[in-house]
Amino acid sequence: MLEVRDVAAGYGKAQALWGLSLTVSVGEIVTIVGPNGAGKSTLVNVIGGLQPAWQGSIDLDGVELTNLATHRVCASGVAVVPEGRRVFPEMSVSDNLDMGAYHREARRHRDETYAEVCEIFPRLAERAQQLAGSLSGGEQQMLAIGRAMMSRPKLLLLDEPSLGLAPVIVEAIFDVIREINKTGTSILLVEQNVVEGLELAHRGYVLEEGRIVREGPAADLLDDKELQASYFGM
Amino acid sequence: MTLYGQAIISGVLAGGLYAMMSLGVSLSWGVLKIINLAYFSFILLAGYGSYELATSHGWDPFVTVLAVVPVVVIVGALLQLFFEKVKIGEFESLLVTFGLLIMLESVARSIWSADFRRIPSTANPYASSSLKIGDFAFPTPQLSAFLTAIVIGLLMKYLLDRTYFGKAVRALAQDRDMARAFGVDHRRVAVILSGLAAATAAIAGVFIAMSQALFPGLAVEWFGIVFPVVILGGLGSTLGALGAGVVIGVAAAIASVAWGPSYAPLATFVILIATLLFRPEGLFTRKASV
Ligand SMILES: Nc1ncnc2c1ncn2[C@@H]1O[C@H](COP(=O)(O)OP(=O)(O)O)[C@@H](O)[C@H]1O
Ligand SMILES: [Mg+2]
Repeated sequence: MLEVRDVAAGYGKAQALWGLSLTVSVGEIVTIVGPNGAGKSTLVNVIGGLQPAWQGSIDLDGVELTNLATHRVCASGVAVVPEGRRVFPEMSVSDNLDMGAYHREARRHRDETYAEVCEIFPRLAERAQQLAGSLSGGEQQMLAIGRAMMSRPKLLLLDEPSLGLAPVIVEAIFDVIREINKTGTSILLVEQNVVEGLELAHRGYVLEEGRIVREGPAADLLDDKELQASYFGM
Repeated sequence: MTLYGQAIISGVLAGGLYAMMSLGVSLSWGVLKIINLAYFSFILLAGYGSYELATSHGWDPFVTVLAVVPVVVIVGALLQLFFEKVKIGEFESLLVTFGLLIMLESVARSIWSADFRRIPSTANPYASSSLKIGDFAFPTPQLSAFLTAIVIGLLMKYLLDRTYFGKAVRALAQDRDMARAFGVDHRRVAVILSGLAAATAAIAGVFIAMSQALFPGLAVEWFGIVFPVVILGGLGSTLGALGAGVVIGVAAAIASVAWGPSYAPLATFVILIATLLFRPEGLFTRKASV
């Protein structure tokens, strides 16, 4: 479904991704792990259209996303839950969710999706009129996920949703990701929380210095002795 | 006491006009991150346009709105389209639009000279008419400007709070890239918003032509009103601009009655400085932004 081929990207002269390729199939959860600065966020931003690719192609169900104008990517079926959540802090929770349903197709199903999101995150429904900036970190993360769901994506990109959250909340968030996946949404998850991230996934990639260095079924990666030594601190 | 009462009335009424004059700068700065001084020229040129139609073509001053607003809206939207094309930054926008302001001021000077231009009273019955309540007078141009400002403020408030367009505007102001990631076409929103702001500036210009004499240097004189209102009201805040307009209007009016007209700018700047020191996000907003 998602096919990233030979993508390079970076900032000014500093290249962050070097000819990177990966795929996500329909209904799959794919987790990308890697150390800080490996290029995980850059990858998410390039797929989500927030940053241009220098070379290569990104294809979603036969639709070329590469260097599509940022505001057109969402309607093609990709939604981003960015690093640091980036909710609209001075808008209410429900206005934040409405922004997720901004593009035409999503707007048509707004009420229906809103009800679904409220069912998954009853907390958001309770705080619908509160400003997003006044929510706790965990609630903001839920809002960022809910906002992305409002656009009814085929592919959900999540950039370190566990960052800075208490373990119980991380667990709850990961449960939700699993639940969203069960309804047919494909997931591309970026995590530094390697073990939990891979346990959730069907397949995984290891990203180092802008290159994919390992890939395979998540269970295999979790069992790999070498990876265990360098990443899991076992 | 009547003197002060009348000053407060004049100040409040002027506040509506000040808000309309400031809305363009406030929205453009707060939402689009462009400090667009061209709005001062739009107000001035709309004023001259209205003057010209009323004086030479016998139009009722109120009716001139119908001709002046569309022209200024188109110019405002095109200018924004140009800014989008060259991806102008906040600081460059200040320089570029200052240049534009100076240029348009000299255009105005070459067409209408540096002299005062006022619609003759034969063509402008409103200048001398007013609503009288007890000892107090509500001059027609100022009163209608104030009521118009209230209507525009409420419409803008509704637009920004309730519609998808308004939510997109606020989202752009708070996190431009995230708004775009969810489908907001920045250029489209920016052009529409600029058109609306230009319309408001043009309406302000028409009311100014109706109530006072025009001269090219006015555009720069308005800095002393508009920037205090924009800062006090909070960047991008419509009702904030209305509230701030009234505060500035009343302060200036009271200062001129108490110490003389030359103290009016001093009063507004004292308020501006105090705001910057103690509430830089503005008097009427919870935080800086819409
Ligand atoms: N805005 C930026 N400007 C310049 N360099 C950046 C920027 N963001 C990230 N980088 C660099 O790009 C590389 C990849 O960063 P990033 O994608 O954020 O990694 P990760 O998300 O895996 O921590 C790093 O070397 C980082 O320093
Ligand atoms: Mg990152």
